[in-house]
Amino acid sequence: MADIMLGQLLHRPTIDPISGSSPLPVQLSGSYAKLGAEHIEARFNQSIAAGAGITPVSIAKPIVIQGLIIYTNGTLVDKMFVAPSIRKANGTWQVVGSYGWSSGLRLDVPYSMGHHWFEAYKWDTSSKNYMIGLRSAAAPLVCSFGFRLEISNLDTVERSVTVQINYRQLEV
Amino acid sequence: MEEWIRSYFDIVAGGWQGDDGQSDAFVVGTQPCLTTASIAAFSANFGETAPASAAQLKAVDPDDAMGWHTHFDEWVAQGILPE
Repeated sequence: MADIMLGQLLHRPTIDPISGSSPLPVQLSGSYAKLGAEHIEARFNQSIAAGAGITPVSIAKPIVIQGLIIYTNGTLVDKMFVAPSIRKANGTWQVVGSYGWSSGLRLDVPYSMGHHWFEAYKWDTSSKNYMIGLRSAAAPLVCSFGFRLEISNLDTVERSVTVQINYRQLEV
Repeated sequence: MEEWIRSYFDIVAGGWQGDDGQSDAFVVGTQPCLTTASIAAFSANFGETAPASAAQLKAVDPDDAMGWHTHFDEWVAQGILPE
């Protein structure tokens, strides 16, 4: 059922989320893309030195993201910077949001709008267990050409993060 | 330090987004994933002069609170720094 619903999503006319008005450079259609059978769930646990940044996720292929969670293991992290990017048709990466642990979450328009299901969330700061992510409230996020995630440690000491991503690769 | 970094590492122009806006970053390593770092922050943390050895850099942060010792060891293995 989920696949059928997602298939309908891919056939729907889509507005370019970057410009907000123009059509996508390549429309996903039944002849172009169909859901891959493989559901990939990857989990990374990585330390980040002070003043350094990592790119734990970099996928230059058409995918749909069903879930993405970033959290720390009981460590107070107040100076991390998270930047998700979507790859455009010309191969460049467009940062579509940013998340500063100390300054709260910020998501660029139109990704903050409901129709792209790119919703940031954050909770449990009281017990110093921090978690933010991109939640698929209604449907997965379609990345026609790829997706990348960068996490920077702006703190003065080493920090560690865990990233979990669930996605399906679109077959061409 | 900045000149030393730029001569030994790949540079990502505008690759660092910090509190003060964008600045250049350098590629620290690629395993297990791409790791970059702020040139300005590294220079501020480890000194403005080019390092003579990994030991000199480690001495700045002997308890490795900043988490750079592993990277310094990798640079030694790569021949970028003497031990």
